[in-house]
Amino acid sequence: MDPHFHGTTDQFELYALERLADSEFARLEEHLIVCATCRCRFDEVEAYATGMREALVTDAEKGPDSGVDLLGWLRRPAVSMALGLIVLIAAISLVSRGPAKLAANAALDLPASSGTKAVAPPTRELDVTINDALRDSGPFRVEVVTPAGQTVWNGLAALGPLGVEVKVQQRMTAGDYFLRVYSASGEKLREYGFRIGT
Amino acid sequence: MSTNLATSRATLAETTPTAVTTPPASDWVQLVSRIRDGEAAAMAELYAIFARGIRYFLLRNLGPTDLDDKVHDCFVIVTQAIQNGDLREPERLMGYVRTVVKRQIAASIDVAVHQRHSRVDFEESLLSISDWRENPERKVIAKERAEIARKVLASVSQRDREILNRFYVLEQSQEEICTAMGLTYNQFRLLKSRAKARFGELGKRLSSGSGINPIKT
Repeated sequence: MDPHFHGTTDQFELYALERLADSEFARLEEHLIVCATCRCRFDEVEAYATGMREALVTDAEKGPDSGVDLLGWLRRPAVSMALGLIVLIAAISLVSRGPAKLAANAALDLPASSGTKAVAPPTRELDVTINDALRDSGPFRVEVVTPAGQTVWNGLAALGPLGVEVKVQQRMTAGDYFLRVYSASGEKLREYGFRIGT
Repeated sequence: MSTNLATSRATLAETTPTAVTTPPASDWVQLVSRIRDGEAAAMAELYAIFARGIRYFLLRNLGPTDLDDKVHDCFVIVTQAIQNGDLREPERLMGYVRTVVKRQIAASIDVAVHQRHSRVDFEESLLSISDWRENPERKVIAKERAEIARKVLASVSQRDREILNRFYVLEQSQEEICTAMGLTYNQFRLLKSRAKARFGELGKRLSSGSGINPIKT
């Protein structure tokens, strides 16, 4: 027998799982009888190997999906911390923005009577009245865009007693916008600039 | 009876592999020769070398009852065989000791089974040898370890879990798993060592909170 033989971790594991080849079996056991260090090593390996086997078998018996912890990744420290940070940022953002700063509803007349840009406060819903003389009787397609051309809202509007009445059902935050009015055929009839804020 | 001597658990201890070497076969021959000559120091040496290992296997398989007596019985059998010249290959002393321990374990279990048959009417709750592996403490320890392993499994991907399942439950070899799942030898080993390390970490964390023996990996 090799006096330096101590067995490998793989051998210990297979021995613990009772799968070690016969050719290595006796050699390992004989060594364990005389080597206290390897007995300790073996105990550690055995604890892991048998525990893992037991866990896998038990989970398999419970059902095909019982062992699959779909939300397990949520319990990872890094993921938990990231989620916590996101929630915190969202909360701070909500508080700083302050829902009370947004009016439930605001009205805007276009074009502005003074010839300057029309202004309305930040609002959750904006009622726009276009009292310009339009050659069309409607219905109209209306869109609100940012100066960069990004559409914020679009919808239909009809001619009312005061003009074309547009209900922009969109949270309008501070900034400059353009409102474009199109005929039913898609022809652009008017474009107005307005500001939300002060 | 189980197929190996170490089918159950003994106390964990804080040790790491060292450069301890097993005495070469020539030393066994000399030791056997000295015992045959009736040298008391040689008997003590034999006891010092084998007693703990014999005790370890007997404890794991038979439990703590009459443990010292059983260790002593093994030792007596070995020394008598040497002195009677029954040990024909002295260089195989370790193999002979192992055989003696196995026979002792088998005999003890046999005795316990017979005792149980004859005494069961009088003592329903007799914790016999055959009950040793199923005793409550060992069950708790096994359950605890499975729970730690379950936590490890919850933190690995479905693919890694399949690899572990193939190895530990389906008893596929490393080669079979690597071929079936397109893994390299190193990938396979890395996964296993990570899972084992995680198991050790969780075991230590748990043990620091509950006072149980730490699980080292």
